[in-house]
Amino acid sequence: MEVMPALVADHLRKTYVSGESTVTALADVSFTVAKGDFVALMGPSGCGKSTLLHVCGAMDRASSGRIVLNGQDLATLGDDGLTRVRREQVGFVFQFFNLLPTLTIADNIALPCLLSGMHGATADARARALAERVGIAHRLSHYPQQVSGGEMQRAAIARALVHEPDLLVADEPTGNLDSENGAKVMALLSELNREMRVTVLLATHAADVAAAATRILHMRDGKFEGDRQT
Amino acid sequence: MRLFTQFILRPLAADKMRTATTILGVALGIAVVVAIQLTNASSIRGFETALETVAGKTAVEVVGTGGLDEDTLPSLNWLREYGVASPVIEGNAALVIGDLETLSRRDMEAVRVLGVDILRDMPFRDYQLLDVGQDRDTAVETAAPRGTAPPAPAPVPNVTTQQFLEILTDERSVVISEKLATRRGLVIGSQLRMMFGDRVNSYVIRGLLKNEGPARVLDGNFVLMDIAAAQLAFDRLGRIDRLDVLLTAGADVQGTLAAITARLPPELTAQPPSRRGQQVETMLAAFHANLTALSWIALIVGLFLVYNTVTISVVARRQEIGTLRALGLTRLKVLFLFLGEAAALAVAGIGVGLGLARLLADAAVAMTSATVSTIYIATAAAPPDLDWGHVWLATAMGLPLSLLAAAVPALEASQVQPTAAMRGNDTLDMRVRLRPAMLMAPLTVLALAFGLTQLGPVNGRPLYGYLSAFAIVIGTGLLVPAIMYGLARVSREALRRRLGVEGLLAHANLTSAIPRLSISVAALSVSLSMMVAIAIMIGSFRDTVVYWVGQTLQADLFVGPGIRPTVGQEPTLSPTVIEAVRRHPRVTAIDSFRNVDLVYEGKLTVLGAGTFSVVLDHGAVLFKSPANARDRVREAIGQDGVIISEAFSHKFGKREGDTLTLPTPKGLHGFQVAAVYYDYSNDRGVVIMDAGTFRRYYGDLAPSGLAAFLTPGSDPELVRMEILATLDEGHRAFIFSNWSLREEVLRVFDSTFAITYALELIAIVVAMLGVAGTLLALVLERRRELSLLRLTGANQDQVRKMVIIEAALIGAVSQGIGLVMGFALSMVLIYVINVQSFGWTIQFHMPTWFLIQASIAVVIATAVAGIYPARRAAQLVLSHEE
Amino acid sequence: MVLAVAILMGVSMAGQAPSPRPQVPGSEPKAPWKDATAGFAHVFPRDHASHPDYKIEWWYYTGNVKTTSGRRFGYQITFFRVGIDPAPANPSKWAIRDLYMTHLAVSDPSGRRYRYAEKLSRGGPGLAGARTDRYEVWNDRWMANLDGSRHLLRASSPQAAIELTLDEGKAPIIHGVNGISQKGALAGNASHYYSLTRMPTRGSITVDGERFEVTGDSWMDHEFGTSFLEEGQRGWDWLSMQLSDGRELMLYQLRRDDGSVDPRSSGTLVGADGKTRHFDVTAFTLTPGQASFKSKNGAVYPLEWSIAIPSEQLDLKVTTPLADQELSLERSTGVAYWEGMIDVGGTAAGRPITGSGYLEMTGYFGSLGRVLSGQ
Repeated sequence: MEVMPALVADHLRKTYVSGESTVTALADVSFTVAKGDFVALMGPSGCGKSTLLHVCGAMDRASSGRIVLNGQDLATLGDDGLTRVRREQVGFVFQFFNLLPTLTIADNIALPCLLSGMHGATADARARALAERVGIAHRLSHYPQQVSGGEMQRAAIARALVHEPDLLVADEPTGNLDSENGAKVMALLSELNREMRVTVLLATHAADVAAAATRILHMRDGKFEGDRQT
Repeated sequence: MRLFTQFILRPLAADKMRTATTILGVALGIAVVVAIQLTNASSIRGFETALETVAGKTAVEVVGTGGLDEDTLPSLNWLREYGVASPVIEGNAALVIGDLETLSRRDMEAVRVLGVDILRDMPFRDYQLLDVGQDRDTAVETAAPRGTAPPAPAPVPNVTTQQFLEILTDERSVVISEKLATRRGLVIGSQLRMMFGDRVNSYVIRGLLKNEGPARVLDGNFVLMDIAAAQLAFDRLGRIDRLDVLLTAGADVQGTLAAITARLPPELTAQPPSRRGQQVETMLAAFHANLTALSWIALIVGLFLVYNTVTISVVARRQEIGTLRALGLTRLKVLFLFLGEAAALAVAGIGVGLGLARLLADAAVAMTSATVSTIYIATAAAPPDLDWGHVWLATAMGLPLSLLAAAVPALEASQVQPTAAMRGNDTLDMRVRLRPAMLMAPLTVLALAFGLTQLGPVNGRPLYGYLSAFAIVIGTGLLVPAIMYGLARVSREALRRRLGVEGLLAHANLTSAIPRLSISVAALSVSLSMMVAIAIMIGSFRDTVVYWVGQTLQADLFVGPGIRPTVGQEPTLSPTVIEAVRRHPRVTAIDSFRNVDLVYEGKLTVLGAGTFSVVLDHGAVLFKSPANARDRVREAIGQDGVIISEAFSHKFGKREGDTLTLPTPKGLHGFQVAAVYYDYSNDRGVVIMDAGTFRRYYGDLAPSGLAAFLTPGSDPELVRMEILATLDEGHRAFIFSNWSLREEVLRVFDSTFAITYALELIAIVVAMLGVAGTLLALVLERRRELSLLRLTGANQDQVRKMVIIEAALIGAVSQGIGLVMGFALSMVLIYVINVQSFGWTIQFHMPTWFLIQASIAVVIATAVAGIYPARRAAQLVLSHEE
Repeated sequence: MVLAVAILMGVSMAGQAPSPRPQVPGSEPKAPWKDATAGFAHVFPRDHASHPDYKIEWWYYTGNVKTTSGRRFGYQITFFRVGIDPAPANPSKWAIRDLYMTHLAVSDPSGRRYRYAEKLSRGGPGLAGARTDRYEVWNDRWMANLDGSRHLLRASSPQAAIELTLDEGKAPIIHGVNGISQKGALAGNASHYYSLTRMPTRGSITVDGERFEVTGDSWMDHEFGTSFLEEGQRGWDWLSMQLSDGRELMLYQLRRDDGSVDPRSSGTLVGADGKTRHFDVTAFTLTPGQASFKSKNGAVYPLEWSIAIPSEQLDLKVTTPLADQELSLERSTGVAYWEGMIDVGGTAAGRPITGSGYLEMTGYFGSLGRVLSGQ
């Protein structure tokens, strides 16, 4: 059975102009991710893994090369197209500042649904369901500042998945957490990856975090150094 | 200093839109205040300049109510002991240009006519005859070759007083200023038609005056006549307007004034000529004070922009501040850095504002001069030039207030921790809870505001009224955060349901920014509340006037001279015109009235004469008190009884039963007040006596107006045309039908308040700029949230919509608060300030439809003000800081 | 006779009518003034009062007085009335029917002072005027009136003031022939002219605020008529004097543009008994001497005169104790004339005689003729 890959990157390059020098964040990166994969990008700070995540998550554009998400070439899309891709197909979790401080946890989780025009009650129900799944239902009416770092990241995961995206992009999701909470978050991600069949692309510099992945890609200076299935 | 340049000035230069908005806001505020100063100065200055120009070297003038009886002059011969005395007739006439048949008030140009006995007057004023006609002396004649232009007239130095007199002797001779002659293409020998009251007379120009001395008045619109000719022209036979006294050189003016006063009969007053200017100034004081108060609103709203901008500046550069602090910059220096920014903005704003002030003043003068000249005095008003006083005023107001406005954010900046700023997530905890303390202060101030309304005027000024209004503004302003928290609590669901996710987000954003927003909302609310208050007051006033006009304008036709009456200038109707009206078969009754200026307790008021019996029969006066006013007034006929206007009653604390001691040509005399009546046409105060009483004490003066009652079923327009058709070439009267006079009254009324709305509009525009600025600040402050929102899947349209909803919400909340505050303010305006400054009873009336329209307009306008910040928000570069 | 000012004014005002300037309706020449005609019978005190039917009228007093210590003073006060418009169209009291001009001058030869002041006024509401029912003429607070048979003169200004009571003294004498004094070739160019020639005077004179009680003799002229001078007449020299033999003499000589003497010059000699003798131009000579006074305005006035009346065997020399007695009113009326006290010495029928009086010289400043002819 020919299965369409979830994500195809083809000779991606990304350079930033910083002052008078040009920084190369991605130097000719190509890879393919199958649907439902849990891929970890590993490498030291500044290796380009975050940039690659952003390009894959339709948050940023490559300077050249192709990135195909679910058969759609992101390079051909305008701002609205990219927004639609993020809204419908991508969820993300960052190291910190995942939630809008002005909204309650419930509204934060429901936000992607609401932004895509889902009926309020339906969105609330979905948000509640996911909150229960990630274990923060008791915190729904709280504001982000009022909950712990672990709870914040769970809420972020719930928000990232509430609209049932195809791709979950996670950039150091446990970087701000102690090891216990970090482990719990990684466990949750693994469970959801399996339950919801969502493709996960995770960037981390920590091997223990990457251990949760089914495939680990090592990066250095904007290039892959190795590709290892676990 | 380098730090200031790099850290403050460069960003200001870079963010042109924001900087320009702020400077414009401050500039508008400053401009409005200075422009109103200029405008106020211009209306009085026009009068005073004319006064001074004509007064010449006069040190003391002797005046009386309705002028002086000329036969008393020989008995005042003792004035010679103090100097020289010159009798004067002075007034405005209209230069008639064009066709008499189609003559309207617009086709006429006002000229100042001075009638003097040149034999006596020569030392008083600087008359410089340029040319006096061909036959004075052959030496004057310049032989100009045929076909060549005559040489420019040169001053004639050796004209004797007697020769001057000769050219004026004739009652149809005039001397005009060279400027007027040039402007109108007139030469010696030209005919000149002028209208005095209802009479159009032809004159011959017999000489030209150099543009010196009195000839400079009204930009050269000056006509010199012999006193006899002027008496005839103005229909003031038997009277003179005043006696100008030129004191012997070296005399002590104050001492002499006291000595003269002591010897004058009580009905005459000796005063310096400037006294008339002061009286007019006092008369206009209430009008001016209200304009000044309004102008300050624009300034205060403008200053809040400074607050905004400095806040933005602080917010946008927290990290940089943190870095600087980490590098060792003291808190005090940080404070000064941002106060410096405010100072820079203020200086720029003041500079631009002073420039704008002149333009605004021209516009404001155009708007107010109609009012001032319609209701108070005729002036050829041009705003005075800016002087250092205005620069000082603008700086003294603008700079400290700007620094004060910037103090809060600048202090905030100085509190930035070096470490906190280095971390990316250093934001203030905005979740401030509603505390009872937040209600205590504002409620106390509001209670004070109520208490202040119970106090009386100070020196005839509603000082406590203004304070009360101010307290309402402050109290409500302090209440704004509490109100916003309350609204935030109850509105979340409704917004989410009605406006979707953008509504939810807007609500969330605004709620979290309440401390920041409160000042913007308060400022906008204040502007809007003033608009609401003024709309209610004017609406009520207009409604009251409409009712009053309906009750009092009962006559079918109103006949007036072609020239408007103004202070000291009462044009009169001639017997020909009165007869023409009286003779018309449809006319059943005539009420003739005559006004003269009356100085009562040092204030300019009006003394009027009317026919009480006609007034009572036709119900043309609306009495306030007593209940049986009509009977009392009927009894007063022939009994030296008078009726006084409400304004007079308020101003001087007089009511029915009291006695007024008035100066009459026969000495001081007491008149009993029979009743108080409503009069919205005059805030100076009016005393009216029956025509018979007036004649007994003040002589048989020609009326200044007539009201005619027609037989039932007559067509007033037809009668009007028929009467006008019977008038000969030399007589022009303006006849209003009842309907057209009502229109005219309301037209004058509306034009009076045009400036009020214009000032309000400026304040609102400035407040709108403030809303845009605040939103921009919030947008910059929320860059990360907005970015997150975009990453979460919000597209640009949604972000734009969110910000515009925020703007509209600010507008709606402000207008809501403004409506309530405005209602309270209107109460103070109507029942305290208006009563204390003008003495009018105004029936409260809510202009509902106008307020609904205005509210919708405000919400739309604030939404429009949100467009720019919305675009900025939508165009933010997506990034998630690591 | 003090014609100068009055005629200057009168003629120049009258000159308006035929002027080439455009006429306004209502300013056409009015009903004419009454001419002085022969046969006029003077009645006193009625004729002291005003004669408003005539265009020009004046009351003129001069006098030589002295203090008890013998300090001499001269005074002159003249009330002019010049008709402008006998019936003004304008009903205003300020409308100008007449102009009133009053000249006051005081001479103080020992103090070398000559002080003068003027008033120029319209009648207006009682500001200046002359009554017709009794003799009272005033201009502001300056006044001359009759109290019984006494003439009261009151006038004051910062420079000069008088407060004098004059007895009538000798009865009035009528100048000219048959009640008129002919001034020109045309019949109407004449005046009714009488004088009180020796009026015992007492009162006070104030010069620059310094007040002196004085007594002495005054001369009063009252003259009224409508047209006086004619074209070609440039000015005149006029004298009045009280002689030590109880007689008084009045002479005037009209000068023409060409320097010749006008034939209408005349004079009157009043005998000690009050009888008068009229002289025509052929009966006397009046000749200027060498001494003269040059005014700042350029006018040169002779200060010595010789009088010869052969028929009376009168030979008189006239001198003045004060050279500058010129009344210059260039700012107000454009008029300047010399009017001052004189001393007289000479012989009458071979016997020495002295006297004092007043001399008036006009037409030395400006061109009277041009104004007269209305050019």
